[in-house]
Amino acid sequence: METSQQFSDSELVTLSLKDKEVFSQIIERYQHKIYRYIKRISSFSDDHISDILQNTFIKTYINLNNFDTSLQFSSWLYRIAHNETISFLRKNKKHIEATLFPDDSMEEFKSDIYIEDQQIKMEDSKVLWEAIKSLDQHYQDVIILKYFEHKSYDEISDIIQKPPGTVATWISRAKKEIQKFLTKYNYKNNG
Amino acid sequence: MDKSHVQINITRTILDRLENQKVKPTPKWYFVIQESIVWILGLVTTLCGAIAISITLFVLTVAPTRFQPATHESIIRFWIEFIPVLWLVLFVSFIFATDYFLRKTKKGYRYSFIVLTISSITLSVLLGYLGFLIGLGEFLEKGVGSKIPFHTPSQMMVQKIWSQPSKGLLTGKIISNNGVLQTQEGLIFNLDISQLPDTQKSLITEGTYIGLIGTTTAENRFFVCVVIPLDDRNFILNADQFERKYPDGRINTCKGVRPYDRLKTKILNYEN
Repeated sequence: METSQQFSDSELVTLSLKDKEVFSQIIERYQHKIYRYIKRISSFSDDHISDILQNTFIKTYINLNNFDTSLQFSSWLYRIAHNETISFLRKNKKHIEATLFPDDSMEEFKSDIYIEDQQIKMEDSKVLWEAIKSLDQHYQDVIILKYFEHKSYDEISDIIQKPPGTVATWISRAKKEIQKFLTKYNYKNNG
Repeated sequence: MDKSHVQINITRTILDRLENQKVKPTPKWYFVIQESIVWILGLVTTLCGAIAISITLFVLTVAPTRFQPATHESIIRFWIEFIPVLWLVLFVSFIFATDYFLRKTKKGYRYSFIVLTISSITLSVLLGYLGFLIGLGEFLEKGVGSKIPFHTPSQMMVQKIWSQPSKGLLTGKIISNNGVLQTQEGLIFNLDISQLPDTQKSLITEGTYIGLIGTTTAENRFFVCVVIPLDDRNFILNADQFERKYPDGRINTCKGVRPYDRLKTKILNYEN
């Protein structure tokens, strides 16, 4: 039997429509990436993330016939995961306590944030993560997709379903907000 | 080890759920129909916007701007009365609706609000202009306009403005060659056309619809200073025909009749 690596995403989609078991190869290919993505945008506990992840793949399976082959499959899957997470967040806002966690891949993000004070640039990841989490949800989404999921503007546009121009504007505004947060943080802590 | 990299294997769980809940992919035709409906709604709202534009263009072109100085103090007051608010509001609403539906199409989110709005405005205006040229705007304003609550169609508006004998304005149908006029409301006026020049008198013929400037001399008696031919019974004032039939003369009895004076000085540019 051929391994899943030999098939493209689109081919796996076509095959999954004929044989449910093939869908497992899509799940295996993407579950870790999507898991991390949900964790980054929601900061939920593992149990909640697992629920969202399952729902994401089930919804993906249900909507396989709606997959637009002109899109990247990963963008479409991220979109479903994004919508599921946001919907879960809205439904359970009062009952879920988000747990902040420092992410391990902040180098690209750090190097792209201009901060006047060098001390802030050297701050640990936890403060940077706190700065990101202080943003409005839509700003968090674009920053996470750009710097942590390493998506292009077009891919982000396809995931959050906003024009690429809006994505660029939101990223720029989000970075400014983060700079403000860090400057304030540094002022508070270093006098 | 980072928690986010914890190995999770939910594959079996998901497949079991799909199996147990008998989940099946939604058929392709469902999405095709869904997408088609959104496009059709977008097209319908664009066409509705185009219809609103064709009516607006009709209303704006038939508004009797040539006679505005005789009927209104200022051009602003004239346009406040004649601007087709209803159709413009509907046009804007349909543009927003088109924008909404286009955004709901598969690739709609890729275009900015401005691009979508400008595109739908352009398309609506072009189609609306086409509709105006083939007479759709006129047909709808006359046919449907009068049936819409709180909306006065343009021809009714002109008729209302020109049906104020106390202010020197009168309109209606000539029902006798002896100068008897019947208004839209059924009132009968005997016209005194003794001072009119022949070119103007020739416009008073049985069965024609006319607009008059003059003054009431007695009950149901109207001294006529100026006759304005109407294009049809819908009271679209015919400015071109009027100027051809209006000689360079003056009727002293009419001096002091405001629409007459304003017509002379502001429209025909005669000196006092």
